[in-house]
Amino acid sequence: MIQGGRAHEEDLRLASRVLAGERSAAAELYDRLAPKMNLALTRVVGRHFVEAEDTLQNAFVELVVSLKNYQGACSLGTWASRVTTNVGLNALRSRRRRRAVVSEEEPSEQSTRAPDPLVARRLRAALLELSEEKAEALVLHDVLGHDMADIAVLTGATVAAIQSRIARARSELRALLEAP
Amino acid sequence: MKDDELEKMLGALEEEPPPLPGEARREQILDAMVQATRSPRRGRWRWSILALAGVAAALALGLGWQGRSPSMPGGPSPVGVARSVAGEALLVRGGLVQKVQQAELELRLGDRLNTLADGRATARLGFAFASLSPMTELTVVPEGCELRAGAASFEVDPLPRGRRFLVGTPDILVEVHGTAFRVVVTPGAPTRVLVSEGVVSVSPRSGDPGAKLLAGEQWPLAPSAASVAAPAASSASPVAPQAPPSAPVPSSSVASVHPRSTPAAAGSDLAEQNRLLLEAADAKRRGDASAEKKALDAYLRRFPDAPGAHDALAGKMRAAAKGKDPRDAVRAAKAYLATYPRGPLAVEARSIIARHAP
Repeated sequence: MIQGGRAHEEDLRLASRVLAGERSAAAELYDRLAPKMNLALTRVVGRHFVEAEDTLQNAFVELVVSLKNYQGACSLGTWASRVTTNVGLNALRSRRRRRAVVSEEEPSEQSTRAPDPLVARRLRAALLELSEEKAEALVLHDVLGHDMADIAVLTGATVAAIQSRIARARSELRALLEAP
Repeated sequence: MKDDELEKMLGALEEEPPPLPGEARREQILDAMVQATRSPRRGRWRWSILALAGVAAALALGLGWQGRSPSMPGGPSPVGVARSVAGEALLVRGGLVQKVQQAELELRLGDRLNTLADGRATARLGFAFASLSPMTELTVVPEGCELRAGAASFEVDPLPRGRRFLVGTPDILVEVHGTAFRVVVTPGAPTRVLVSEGVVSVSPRSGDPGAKLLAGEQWPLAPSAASVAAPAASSASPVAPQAPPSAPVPSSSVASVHPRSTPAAAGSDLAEQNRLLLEAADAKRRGDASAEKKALDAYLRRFPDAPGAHDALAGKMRAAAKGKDPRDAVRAAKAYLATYPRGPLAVEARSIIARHAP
């Protein structure tokens, strides 16, 4: 689905105002997207991590930088979901590397409010074993609830390719979670 | 482990988010956002070098770079407008080069748009809207445009009787009939056309048989179809343009198009699945909840176990929630929950039921 720029003309205008350095536009963008990005980050990296690190600020900075590529083919909210997903996955990767070097402490189970903290931890670890493309598609679809057509627009892939990416990601994730 | 067990596990990520930052922290984040628009970032040099390479290439081609020319020569009446969306784009007219800005710039017949390595631009040409990717060259010609290099996505409104819109590339001509599609021109390879909505006709310049492509289909045809339709594009000589950049697209050049069904449409359900999902997405974009629901119903009836079934049920639920009948919204949300009790939209489904239940 290629929507061109007309369907989200207002979002395009906001994006160019942000890129021009208008603080009021940055505030508008923040107020509109912060709840959604906060929720998405929590799902990807976990509440403890969102509170302990500057992930929300990082996500907004990355969002602003990415706006130069935004063409209005999807809403800014959908665009921000992809940026947030990748910021989250990168933060998890970076935490894994740090932990390997300095034995960083895991958040205690009491410090998280996930329905099942152990399962959540295993899932996040398994997500990092997937290729970036597959992890991104799976998180956008299965965790954040975007439809395949939107993900196809976001990533420049076809719906069929996204469908196949998600199916493979699920299958690999299942295998990883079943492994002893 | 089955799909529903995996879904149940993914439900473990549904954690309550922390409260949003307070006012002082919000101000700091806004500072960082504004700062991000000013500071050079890692990787910026790489883009600059590529952009310079683009300018150097323009000079080498004898485009007569003059920087930002205050006045471009006049000529034929304007036929459209262009604007830069990101990075750098150039407008070449009569040997003079002007930088395309974010403000709209008039386009005339014979004008050429070049996006540089980091550049993206859009052009409105009558009933067509084109989004140009980086390193793309597009020339405005009567009844359409010529794409010499790069890639562009087109969205064309339904055309009035007697009007046409054609996109020419070194090896093919594409005629559109109110649609959305993408054209990719790679030196030394056949032009690729990917249709996302509607119908386009592709006609090789060599005179070999062309094809009518439906949504989800692409050119060149798959090898099994090539033996039937024998597209000339696969054997076309690299890039040697058969018409000068500013030459009009010959109006008779699409006469030899042969409608056909592609192997994807005939041999697999995938093309049909894509078509229905894209039809639903298009209806959603137009705000036509009823057409969206109809397309999704058709998808679910025909492909209840396909991987897109989740999206179809979710889309139906959201379309119904926007509709006028609260019972319909509750029914659709319950249908979603019955199939995906721990799905990513389970919370939304429950909230729709709570909001719309009598």
